[in-house]
Amino acid sequence: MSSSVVLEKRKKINLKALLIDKLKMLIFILIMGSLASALLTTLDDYTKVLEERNVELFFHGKVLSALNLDDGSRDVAEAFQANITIEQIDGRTLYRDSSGAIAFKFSGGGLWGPISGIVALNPDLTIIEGLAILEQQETPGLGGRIAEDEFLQRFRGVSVDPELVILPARRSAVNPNEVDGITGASMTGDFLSDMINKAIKEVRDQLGVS
Amino acid sequence: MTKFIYRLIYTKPFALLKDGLWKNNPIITTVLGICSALAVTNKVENGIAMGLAVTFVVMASSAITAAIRNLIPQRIRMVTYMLIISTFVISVDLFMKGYVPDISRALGPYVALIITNCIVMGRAEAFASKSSVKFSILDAMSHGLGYTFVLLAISSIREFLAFGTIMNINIAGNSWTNWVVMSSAPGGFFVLAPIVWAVRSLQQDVDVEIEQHLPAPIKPATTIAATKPGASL
Amino acid sequence: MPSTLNIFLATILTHNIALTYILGMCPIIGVSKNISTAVGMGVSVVFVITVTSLINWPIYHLILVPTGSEVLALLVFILTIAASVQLLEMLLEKFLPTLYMAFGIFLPLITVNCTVLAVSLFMVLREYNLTQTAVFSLGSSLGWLLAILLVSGIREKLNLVGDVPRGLQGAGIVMIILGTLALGFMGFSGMVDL
Repeated sequence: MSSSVVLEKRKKINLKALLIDKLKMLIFILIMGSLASALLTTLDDYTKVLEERNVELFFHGKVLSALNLDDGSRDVAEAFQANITIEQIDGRTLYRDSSGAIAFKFSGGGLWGPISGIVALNPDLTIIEGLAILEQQETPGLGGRIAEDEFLQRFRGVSVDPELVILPARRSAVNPNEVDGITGASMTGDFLSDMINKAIKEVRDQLGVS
Repeated sequence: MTKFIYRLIYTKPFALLKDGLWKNNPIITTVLGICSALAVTNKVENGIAMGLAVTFVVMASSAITAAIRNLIPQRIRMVTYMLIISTFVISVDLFMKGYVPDISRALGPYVALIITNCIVMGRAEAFASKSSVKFSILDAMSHGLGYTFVLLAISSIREFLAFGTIMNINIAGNSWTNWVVMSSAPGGFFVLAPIVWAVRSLQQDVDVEIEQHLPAPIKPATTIAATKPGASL
Repeated sequence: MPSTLNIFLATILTHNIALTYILGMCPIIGVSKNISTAVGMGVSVVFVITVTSLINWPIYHLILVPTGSEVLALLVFILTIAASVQLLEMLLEKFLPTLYMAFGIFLPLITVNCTVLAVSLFMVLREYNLTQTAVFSLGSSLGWLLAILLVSGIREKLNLVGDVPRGLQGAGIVMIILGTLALGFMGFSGMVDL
């Protein structure tokens, strides 16, 4: 009789100890969690401004390089401020420089992931002034070379009338609307020319140029 | 002088350094954290950035873990480690986005995935949870640097073969033909495998399998024994 | 936005999470000695990834985004993963003991499998909706299962042939197998668009 009472008592104490133990764990994790969140939120507030500025600078730098205004000697923010006027048409942003050349963003799917970039055209939208790549995940060394200056330079002065053609590597450009492709990356080339042509067509429609 | 060197070799800090850099090198011997070691090492600069990021995270989280090791309730210690680790990883991610955007863009989501890099968790569980802050930091540093050195080796080989450059400086000349495969995923495996082979042959210490180094699951010891491959299911 | 079928095929073939993104390597190297353990690990991963990403999606879009605390996303994700793995383990043990006997032992190891966190992370980065997330997580995890199955199959056959040099045994040979497989999977590139 007495032994069972003792057992009962011990059980109760154990239960209490268990509860306290659980409570301790909960409090511990709550304290740690709120400490961590407080720290991160503060840090985020601090770095968010910097991060947004970096993203904007990167984008503006690419716009400048597509319009061939990127001579490297000036501050990107300053050069952008001085040369570019921004126009909004039907949800698309156009970047115009002092000579009237227009740059805008294009994007689409590539071989491995999304490709996006900026193409700059002359005022009557017939000749490419320059091209810049914002984002690509193509095979490094093959399709990935679309982001290299050497390849991007090939587009300068190329006609887009009626549309841009990126040739397979074994043929070289004859017509004014053709560009030499990259060896081993003909699919990336096709994707790229498709998305550029699509964007140009849309802008032509929006501006009423045919 | 020789006496001095001998005495140095047998001190604890030296043993800790040797452990991380050579004997239990995280990538080569214990094969931990190789996802990032393979995914971001096609350029030397990315490899160094990744290595330093991991070194910082493992040092910081080991230090904190060691400092509060007597407060952590036993049953929820894994969750606590994760909380500490992810806090530091997110901080590193934010810092990189703010101050070195180019490298942050190149490493992409792999910075965030340091959270599940088993090296960090492994050090917290295996060492920092039962050692002083001072030695935990040293131990974390040696493992972090051991990881960084291997990343440096892999990325130098890969960048040289894939682009003919090291740190973006052309050293192979213009007649060099780029080995395109080296810059993509399979290249990483093909470079790391011979390195592992060579080092393990030198160490004469072959049969180290990964399960022993993963943080012990929160389970009774008897069930863990059954996880060994080969146990019939 | 890609169609759901596209996402499903792409995550298995062209954007295989193990062989293209090189994620979840630790378990592939650690538990691929024979096919039966590999299947056990793979199936548990499929289950955990699908469940956790379907829990994480609402948490991110219904709680974190409205309160402007996206920065805590990773922290919340990893805690959700740890908690749901633990819960899953307890539920299995209680209600499906046979299943628990087969797969329960792999569950604690999955918390540190980077694939699980990566799927939740990619779902946010690629701005998937709930249906796409479901398909994406199922596809990715099946892709991972395929990878570990291929590796363990090759390893078993390789054991029959024998003669792997001592230093190359274990991790080394798995890396070479994985490299070859990754090279093979590069052949799928361009088949489906993600």
